[in-house]
Order: sequence, then structure tokens, then C-alpha cells
Amino acid sequence: MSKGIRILIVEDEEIILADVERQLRKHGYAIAGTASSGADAVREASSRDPDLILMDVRLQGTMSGVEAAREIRRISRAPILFVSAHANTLAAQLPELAGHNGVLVKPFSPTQLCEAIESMLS
Amino acid sequence: MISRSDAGNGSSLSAEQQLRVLLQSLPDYAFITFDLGNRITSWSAGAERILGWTEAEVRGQSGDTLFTPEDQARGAARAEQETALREGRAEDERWHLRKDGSRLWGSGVMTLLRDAGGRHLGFAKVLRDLTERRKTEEALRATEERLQRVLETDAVSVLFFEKNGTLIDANHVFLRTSGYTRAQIERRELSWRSLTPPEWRSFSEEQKKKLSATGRIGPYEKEYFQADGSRRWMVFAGRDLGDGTIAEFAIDINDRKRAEAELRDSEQRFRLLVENVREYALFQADPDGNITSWNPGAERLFGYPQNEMLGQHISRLLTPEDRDSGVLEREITRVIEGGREQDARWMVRKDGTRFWAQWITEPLDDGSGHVRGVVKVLRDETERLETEQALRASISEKETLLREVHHRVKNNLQVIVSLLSLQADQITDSAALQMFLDTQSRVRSIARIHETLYSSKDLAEIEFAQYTRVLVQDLFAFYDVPTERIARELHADDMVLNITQAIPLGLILNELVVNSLKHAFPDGRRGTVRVSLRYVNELVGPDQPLDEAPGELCVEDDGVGLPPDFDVERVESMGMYLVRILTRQLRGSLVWTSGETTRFCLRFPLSLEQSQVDL
Repeated sequence: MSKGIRILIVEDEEIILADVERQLRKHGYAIAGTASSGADAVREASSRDPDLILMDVRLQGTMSGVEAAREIRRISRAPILFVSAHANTLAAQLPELAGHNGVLVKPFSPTQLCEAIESMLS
Repeated sequence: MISRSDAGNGSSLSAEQQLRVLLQSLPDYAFITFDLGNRITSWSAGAERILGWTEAEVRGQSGDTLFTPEDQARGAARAEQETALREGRAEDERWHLRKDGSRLWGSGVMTLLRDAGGRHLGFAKVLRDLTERRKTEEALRATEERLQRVLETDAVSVLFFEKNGTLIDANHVFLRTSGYTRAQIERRELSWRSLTPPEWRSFSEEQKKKLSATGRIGPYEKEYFQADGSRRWMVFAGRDLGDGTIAEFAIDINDRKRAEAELRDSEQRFRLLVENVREYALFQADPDGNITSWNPGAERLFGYPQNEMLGQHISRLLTPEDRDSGVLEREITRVIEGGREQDARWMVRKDGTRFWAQWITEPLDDGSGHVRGVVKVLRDETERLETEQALRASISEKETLLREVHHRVKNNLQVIVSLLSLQADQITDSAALQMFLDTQSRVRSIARIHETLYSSKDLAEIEFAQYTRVLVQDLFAFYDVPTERIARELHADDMVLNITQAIPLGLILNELVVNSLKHAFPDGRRGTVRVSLRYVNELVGPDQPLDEAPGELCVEDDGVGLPPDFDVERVESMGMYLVRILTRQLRGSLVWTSGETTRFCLRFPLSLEQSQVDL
């Protein structure tokens, strides 16, 4: 049952990425693309025009998830759902970031993931 | 007896008349005659002048009239006459009374009068007024007594020398202080020379010359020999008495001299110490901050020789930024008002290089409570500062590394969870799938520990109350438990655990909560899961701090309850097996009850020592 919602997953750990991708597909979401670095995320966000970006904070390369989001905001207004084990540290950085952003605390269950995505898109 | 009727008999004066004229013409003498019954029979002009009565007033009066009441009571007049009767004359000096009641000191001679045949006729008294002399003598005596008292004071030695230097007298103070005896003085054994140590003799000779020239000597300080051969300091002053003797007054200053010598020694030792301390800069400054002393250590440390720094302002040693802030001026004020202070900051050497100086500043007292500046003891601690900074950097680096390790362990555990999740997707058997889910849950509970450590301040201790809160919330989410069906309640004391305790305790918490969620509420049953974490205060003695009590973790639900034959030691499920072995690992004890509520409680020691506590 497709929901027609296209999600860009940014995660540097391929196994976790695969697991999240599987869970999202299982719950009816489409995958707009995947990226493991901040630079890839900016490029994918630009070329794939996702409905939502699921963004890990720690990424490969020199750019963090927050820095990548800052770049993405120049080209995309897609909501960004950050995934972090340290919600408090991240929450302090969000106000300076333009657009619609949210945080999902790791680890999360598939249900929590879907609820957070729906909440961002509602 | 002298008779008035005898006067003026013939042109030439008789012998009696001549005597009478003579007696009347001596105004300083009273001539009085008495009959044998002590009645006054004649009274000269001198008597009238000295005693105040006219002859008419006293003629026929008792001779007692002239005596004081005390002498009258003693019968002094009678006794005087009896002496005259017995010996022909009586001579004495005593107080007499005047007409106006005042007293005069009279020297008198009472003579027995006889006629040619030797028959007693009466008495004649010649009285001279010596009151003024008496008063002068009394005043002199009083002066002498005062002088004597002065000489007998305990503090002042008095010595009398002949001009040749022989000691001829000394008061008891000198004798007591010096140990010499009066007999030695009387034997003339002691002299100026014998009392004076050889090295003081030329000085003493100079003093003697001064005495010859001026009649006075001193005050001067010198040592003299005591009787036992030891020396004693005294301050001397004296004068030539003009009778061939010299008086010297002396005050003992031995204690003061000894204290001065000790102070000199102490100052000498201190100076040597200050000059030889090369590791420390020691210098003094006046209240305005001008440097007043500068030791070799300061020369070595700052590179400025003493002559360049004396009189310079202390701020010269500071960095330009500190110099402008007036930090040392304020420090000097605080030290003078409030005492010792210590500080550390960068200072500048003569060559412009900087070093990290650590110092103590003390007020400098002049001994009478007046602060005359400050003394600063300063050391170059640059090396220690650099070591500390390197150590801090190293610790910080290792903390970062350790934090990263926890993060990566957590990430790796997360990868394992994802692997299990991916694998589970290919499992069709529900029992096997449940095992995969339970294992994921267990790994996540361990990952949570590392995540908590990553966020903790010291990377070693876990706030277990916070961990419990998050884990219970995770488990409800992971097992998709709607909280409107199964409520959760949590009461947790603040409890800090290390990783060795936290991982097994986290796994036990995971198993007990999952057990309730999976089995206590079948078929959509509603209820509550309660989790509590607390110190078992009742197991603590009254003198022990509460955080030495054992901990207790309880999971309770109001679900369907345990099977009647449930025994945690025998049940074969993986979850209860883990609870059993991990309880052993924690050296804890597990109790459970089942009825309206099912309750598992684990008591565990919070330190190794507490493992001996009877749980």
C-alpha cells in the first residue's frame, strides 16, 4: 500500500540504512534516494526533490547532518527529520536552521519512525 | 635667786644687776627662775619674746605651763628639776609651749641655785629657741631618707668610687645583680679596673677623662665582670661628688642587649637565607609599590641586578596588559589591610621573555604593628603550568577518544539490531521471529548504556534513574504497546552506577518489563506496569549515609499473574534464565510475589563492599 510519499534517507551505516529503508517500504513509503555523506545528501536533495529527508546527524566525510541540512535549505523546503541519540544537543542547533525540522531520538521502533514522519508531514 | 629689788641699788651696778642687764640684753635666750616649788619667779625679755607671755602673766605660775601636755603628763618638769637637784644641772632639748599654743624646740639648761651657805634657793633655766634649726634638720633628714629610698630601688645600682678607682660602697641592687659581697667592698678588693673587661678599658679611660673635664660621666653602655667571671651589660651615668668620691648609677640592660644580639643573629641568618635562596625570588616593596629589597634569586629569575630594581615600581615586572590593570597595586592594598594573599600570573624578565609566576605576598611589619610594606616570595612555575596544560590536553584527548569509543560501540550495537531486524524479515516462524525481536530488545538495552555513558560527564558513571525512564519508554515503543491500554508508572531514586553494574541491571530491567508486556496482558487486557528504583533505606544503620544502602529494582504489573507452579529457578525461558544468571553476577537476590499483582524485586549491592550486606 503506497502512500506516495518519497523519502530521502541519509545514513552513513549501510546496514542501518538498509534496515530503515526496508521498514519504510514495509509501511508504504517510497524511497527517493539514499546518501551516506553530507555532500551526497545535498546532491540527492537537489536532484531527487524528496517529500521528506530522514537525516542522521553523524555522517561520512567532513560535513555533519546539520551542516548538510543548512546547505539543503538553500535549494529545498522539504521537511528534515533528524535522527540522533542526543536530542538535547541537536535541539539547541535547530532554531538557527530555517524551514520545517524535527528530531527522532535513536533508537526508535518502526512505529515511532512512522509516527514521526506523519507528524512532520501533517 | 635674782631679785628685782636688787636692781638699781647704787650708782654702779652690782654683779647681779650686771648679770640681769646682760640676760635681758640677749633676746635669743630665755632666762627663767623657779622656786623650789616650781613656781616661776623671774622672766627675762628674751623669755617674753620667745614664749609670748609677759613676766606679769607668768610670775607665780607653775613651770609646767611651759611644757607640752604630753610632757606635763609625764612630769617632765619635775624630773628635770630633780636631775638638777641631784646633779647640779639638767640639760635637754624638747618641745615647749608658747602662749599662743604653738610649739618651739628649745635647748635648755636647768641649774640649781644655792646661797653662799649651799642652801637650795631654786632653779634657773636658760632656754634657747632652736625651732628653725630643728625644722632644717628634719627637712634634711627627710631629704636623706628620700635619697636613701631612691638608692634602695630595685632597678638602679649605685656605686661609689674613690678617684683612684677603688669601689668603696654600693647598694644592695648592685650586690644582688653582680654577686659581689659587701665584705669584698669593705676589703677594698674591687675597683673600676677589676670590674672592667680588658677590651672596655680604653673606653673606660676616655670616660674617666671626661669625668675629670666635666665632673660628669655617661650615660654610656658597657659590659662589666660579675663575681662569677661572667659579663653583664649595664648603662652607667655618674658624677664627681666633690669630696674625692665618684657616684655612678647603673641600670641593668643585659636582657635588652641579649635580645638585640639574638635579633642581629636572626637577621643575619635571615639575610644569609634570603641571599642563598636561588629558586625563589624574594623582594620587598613599600606601600606605594616601590621595591625596597631584591635577593639574588630575584636577580636570577628576572634578570635584573639589584641596583636596577631598588626604588623601581613593582609593576615593571608585569606584562603590559596587567600593568595597566593596576593588579599589583590593588594586591598590596589588600595585603596591608587583610594579610597574606597568593596569586599566579605571567611576568616579564629583563630580556622581555615571559614566565608563569606563582607567589605569596605577606604584609611586612616593623615589630610595633605598623605595616611598612609587603614581602613577595615568587617562583617560576612555567614548567609545571606547561606540564599541567599538557596533562589536561591529554586527559581531554582521551576523554574524546573514550566518548568516541562509546559512540562507536553504540553504533555497532545499532548495526547488530539492524542486522537482526533485516534477518527477522526473512523468518516466517512466529516463535523464531519473537526470539529475534527479544534479542534486538536486549542489544538495544546495552546500546542505551553506551549512549548514556557517551553523554555523561565523566564517561564512567550512569544516571540509572534516567536510563530506566528511557529504556521503559523504548520498550513500550519497540513492542508497539499502546499506553492507553497498558499504562506505565515509574518511581526512580537518583542512583549512579558504573558500567559493570549498569549493563546486567539494564538487561534484567529489559527482561522483566518485556515479560510483563508480552505475558501479563493477553487478549487486549488493560492494566499498568510499575517500575521502581530505590535505595533500601531500612537496611542501613542509623550512622550510615543513605547512598550506602543496597539498591532495589522492582517491576510490577496487575495482569493475569504467574502460573501457580512458577519458580524463577526452574522456568526455562531465555528471559528468566538471563534474570537468574545476571542476578548472580550482580551478587543480588530476587524475590517475586504473584496475586492481584505480580511483582519481581531485585536487591543488589551498590559497591563491592556492600555485597556482604544481607539482602
